[in-house]
Amino acid sequence: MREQVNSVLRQLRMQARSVEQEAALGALRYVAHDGERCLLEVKPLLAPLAKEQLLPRIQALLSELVGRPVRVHIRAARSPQQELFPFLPTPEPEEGEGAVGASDPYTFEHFVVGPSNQFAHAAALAVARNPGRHYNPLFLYGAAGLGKTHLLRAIAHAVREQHPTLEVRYLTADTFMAEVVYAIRRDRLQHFKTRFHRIDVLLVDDVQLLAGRERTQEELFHIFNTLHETGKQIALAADRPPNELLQLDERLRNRFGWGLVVDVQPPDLETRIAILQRKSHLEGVDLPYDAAVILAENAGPSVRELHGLLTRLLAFASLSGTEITTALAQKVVASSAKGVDRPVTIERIQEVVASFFGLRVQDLRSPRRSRAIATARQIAMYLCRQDLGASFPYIGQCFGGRDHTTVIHAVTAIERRQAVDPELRKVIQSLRGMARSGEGSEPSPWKTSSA
Amino acid sequence: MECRMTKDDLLGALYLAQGIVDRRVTLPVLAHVLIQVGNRDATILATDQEIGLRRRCGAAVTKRGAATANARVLYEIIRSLSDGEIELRSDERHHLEVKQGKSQFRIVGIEPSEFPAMPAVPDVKSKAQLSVDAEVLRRMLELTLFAASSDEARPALCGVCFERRDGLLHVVASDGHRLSLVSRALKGVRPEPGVILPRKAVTEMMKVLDGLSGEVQLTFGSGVVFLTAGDVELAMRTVQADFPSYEAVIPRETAHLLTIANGPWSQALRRVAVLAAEQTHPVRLTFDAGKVELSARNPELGEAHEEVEANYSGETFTIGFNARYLLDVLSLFPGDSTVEVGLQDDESPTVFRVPEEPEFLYVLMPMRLS
Repeated sequence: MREQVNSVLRQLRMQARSVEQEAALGALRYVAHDGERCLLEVKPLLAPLAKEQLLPRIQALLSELVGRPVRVHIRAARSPQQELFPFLPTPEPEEGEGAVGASDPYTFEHFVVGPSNQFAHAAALAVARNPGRHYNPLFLYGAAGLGKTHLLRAIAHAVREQHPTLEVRYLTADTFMAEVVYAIRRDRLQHFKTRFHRIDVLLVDDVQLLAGRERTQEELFHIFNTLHETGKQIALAADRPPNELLQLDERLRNRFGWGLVVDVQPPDLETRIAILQRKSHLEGVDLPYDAAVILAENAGPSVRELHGLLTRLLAFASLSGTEITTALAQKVVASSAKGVDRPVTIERIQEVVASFFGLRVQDLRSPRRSRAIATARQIAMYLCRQDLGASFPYIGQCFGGRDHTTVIHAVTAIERRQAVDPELRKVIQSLRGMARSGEGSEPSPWKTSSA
Repeated sequence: MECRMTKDDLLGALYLAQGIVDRRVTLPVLAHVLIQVGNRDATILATDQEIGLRRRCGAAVTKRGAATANARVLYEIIRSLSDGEIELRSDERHHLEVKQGKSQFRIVGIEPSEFPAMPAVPDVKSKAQLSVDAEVLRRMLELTLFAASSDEARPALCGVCFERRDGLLHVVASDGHRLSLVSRALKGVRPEPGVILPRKAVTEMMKVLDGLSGEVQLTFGSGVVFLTAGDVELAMRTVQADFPSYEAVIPRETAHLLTIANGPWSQALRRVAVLAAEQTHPVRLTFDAGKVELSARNPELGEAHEEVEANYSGETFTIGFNARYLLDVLSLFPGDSTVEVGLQDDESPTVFRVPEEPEFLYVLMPMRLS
């Protein structure tokens, strides 16, 4: 398998469409295979690009070469230590638990404070210093990519350092839900409760994801009460304040508002520059001030987007062996704005379609069926199928867990309507263009459950 | 209740209870031990709801009954008393009175009925039970536990797996980077396929087995494993996960074979590892005719280099390992033992064996050298 992978990589390298792609293809390395799956590794900086732009073609060519379908997985190489069971699922440090170690980027030290997040930062710091004493619960809210997760994990990190005897647990609402389901299925609910009651500092991220999950909300409600009564610290984060979490049980919403509710605002220009400088310093790169200003002025409101631009700039510089200059920064900004090879993903399509129809991405994924929403949803599904070739069940999953037959129906319906409706054809054409370039939408505040 | 017990008996039981009681105390009663006094003896119980300890001790009984006391407090008190007899008595307010000569303590307890019930060893046929010499079992655990993971996100690897295959009992642990396996023919072997006991349970089991000789029993119930060793009974909840199928990662044949004296190799590794990068401790090993060259480099600290004699006649070959993973296993064998290393290439699992203990086998994944 190693030979075949290498030959596929060589072949693709000759057709690479950008310096980055070429570099990623050169850096990808075969790790293991088990008949149907094949695992490749690449340095963390290049992993997102490899997954988005290269994986499908590698998979197709490899399957062809081997003569049977092979599922290719690409992951970021984190350690030179090789593994005995490479296919055993490893928890991603970005999600869920996260190994908190020397390399943990989510600490208070690495958090850049500005007027937009000063209050949230101070509250989180107070909680970390004296868990359970002030602000219980602490509730952080704000749009995606503004640092809520960073603050929660910084609390976890700081508590572990300053109060090593305390039991700290950071998890996303998703993970919590999975654990509830697991406990129910395995009939281990009592054990599950005991484990959570033991926690001294509980940090739950993305609580808006609990919408509609009654059983999970119920468990969280009980855990919340027990911990709160015994003076244990709870901190939560969501994309909106507690009183707007309408799909959550009222008892839970109430409790979320008992302590301190703080919002995290998008950073101003100065803070964004400071963030870029801090981040590049962490990467061990010297980012000239002027280049930082160019990136900061051109990125969207989210810090994640800011990091994205910076990563692109650093990758560009390191791969082409040039120095980071204002000219290079301008080039990167320009190419991102034009979206030269902005990858089209299901989320991207959902964002563009939602914003075109004046809806929220959430509406597309919701069970709502009003006419406007239903049409937009069908168009988005159609684009996901036509332009991305995603499977019907997968598309269904990305649209709020709909059945694959619903997707098939949507795609056929749009195909049929397009044939007779030139107006619709035009709309779809322009949506396609928007998805490919960077225009037409704000980044979605909703986290997608990547499957 | 009222009885007299010797300090030795009490202390022995409380020492084991120390390791088990829940230090993070969710239910206050879990920080306590339960002392049950019967007609002619006493039983001391402790649990964290994952592991339960039951230890029978001789007692001169005046009045039957039960009492609880904070495990740590009671341990500290008993430890500081003189050798000989100690009087224990409980009152209706659940206080435990401890008396020896002129020393007297009254310890606050909890209603004994609040103490969680412990699973009892099931009445199983001899097939699900396995008799093994205490020292043999202890060694099997010692040779494997160190390789278990402590990453709780991968529960299947956070313990030691017991499994019967080909008429042997296999005890195996792995953290995903290395794997440690002991296989022995034992009488009456029948654990369910792949029963995993968590690290803490195995650690406590080793404490119970420490210094013990003669046969002990392991009984495999559903979701629980019992160790019965003399007066001690340990009930351990198993991990609800499947141990990865490890057969395939154990190389059957290897291209290169090296034999080397454990002592000199370990010492050289320890010295060289001082300059290996932190966290992953990478050490470079080059096998050459009649020797192994060890080296480590750390850009901030410097370099180390050392040669050790070895029996090797294959082609020159370089491979990287985490020095800690090597030292962990080498330190389990005497310095004058010989270690056999089977190597395939610098990306494949490497096998370590010690001819003196042929039941044992260690598989280690190399590190990429940049």
